[in-house]
Amino acid sequence: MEKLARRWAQKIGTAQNADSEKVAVMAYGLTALLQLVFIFLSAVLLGCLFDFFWEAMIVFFSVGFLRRLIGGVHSGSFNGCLFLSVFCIALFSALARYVLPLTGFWTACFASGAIYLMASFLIYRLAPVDSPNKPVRRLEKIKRLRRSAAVVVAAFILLTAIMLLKTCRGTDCLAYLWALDLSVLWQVCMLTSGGKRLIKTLDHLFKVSRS
Amino acid sequence: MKKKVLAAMSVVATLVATLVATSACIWWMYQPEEPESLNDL
Repeated sequence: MEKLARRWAQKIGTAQNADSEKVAVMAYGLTALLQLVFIFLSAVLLGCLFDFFWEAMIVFFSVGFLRRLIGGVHSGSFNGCLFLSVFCIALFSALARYVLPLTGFWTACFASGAIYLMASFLIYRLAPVDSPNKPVRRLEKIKRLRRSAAVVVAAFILLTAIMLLKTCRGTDCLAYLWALDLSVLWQVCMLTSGGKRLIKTLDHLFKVSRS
Repeated sequence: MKKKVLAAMSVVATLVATLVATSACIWWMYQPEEPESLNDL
C-alpha cells in the first residue's frame, strides 16, 4: 500500500509539474492517510461484526492521539502495522466488552489508578520516543509534545473519573472505561524496551505466517 | 475535471503530511521515512 501511495503521488506530481521533494511530501501524506483510513474501516467493520463498535472506536482514537504525541515502537512494514493494529483493536475491544467488566467496579478503580500512575511516570521519563525514520531532536518540539501528552492524559483521567461516577450511579460504563485503560496501557508499554521486544516478536511471527 | 481532482488530492496529501510532521509519529504502528523538508516542523 505504501507503493500505491508513492505511485499516486508520482501521478499527481507529474500532472502538476512538482519537484521530487514535493512528490515525496505527497507520498508521505498519502501513506498516512491510507493507513488511517484502512485501520479505521477495519475497526468499524470488526466493531459492527462482533458488537464492540464503541470500544473499537475508543481504542482506535485514544491510541492514535496518544501515539502522535508520545511516539513509540514501530512495526517494520506497512502491512505488519496494519495487521498488528487491527489485531490489537479487536483484542482490546473484545476484552473490554466481554471479559474485563466481569471483574467488577473496584478492580476497574484500582486498575485505572495503577495504569494512569504508571502512564504519567513513563511519559514523564521516556516520551517522546522517536524512530530513525522520523527523529525528534528539537528541544522545543520535545517540550511541546510532552505538554500536549500531559493534557491528553489529564483528559483521559477526567473521562475515567466521569465513567466511574456514572457506573456508581447505575449507568454501566465499565466496558468503555476498560477500553480506554487498555489503550493507555498498551501505548505506554510501547515506550519501553519490553514493548520494543514484543513488537519485534510479533513482526517476526507475522513475517513467518506470510512466508 | 481530472486536473482539479489531482490538485485537490495534492492539497489534502500535503496537508496530512504537514499535520503528521508536527507530531511524534504517524498514527498507529508504521512510520515511513519523513521527507527532509518536513524535518524542521
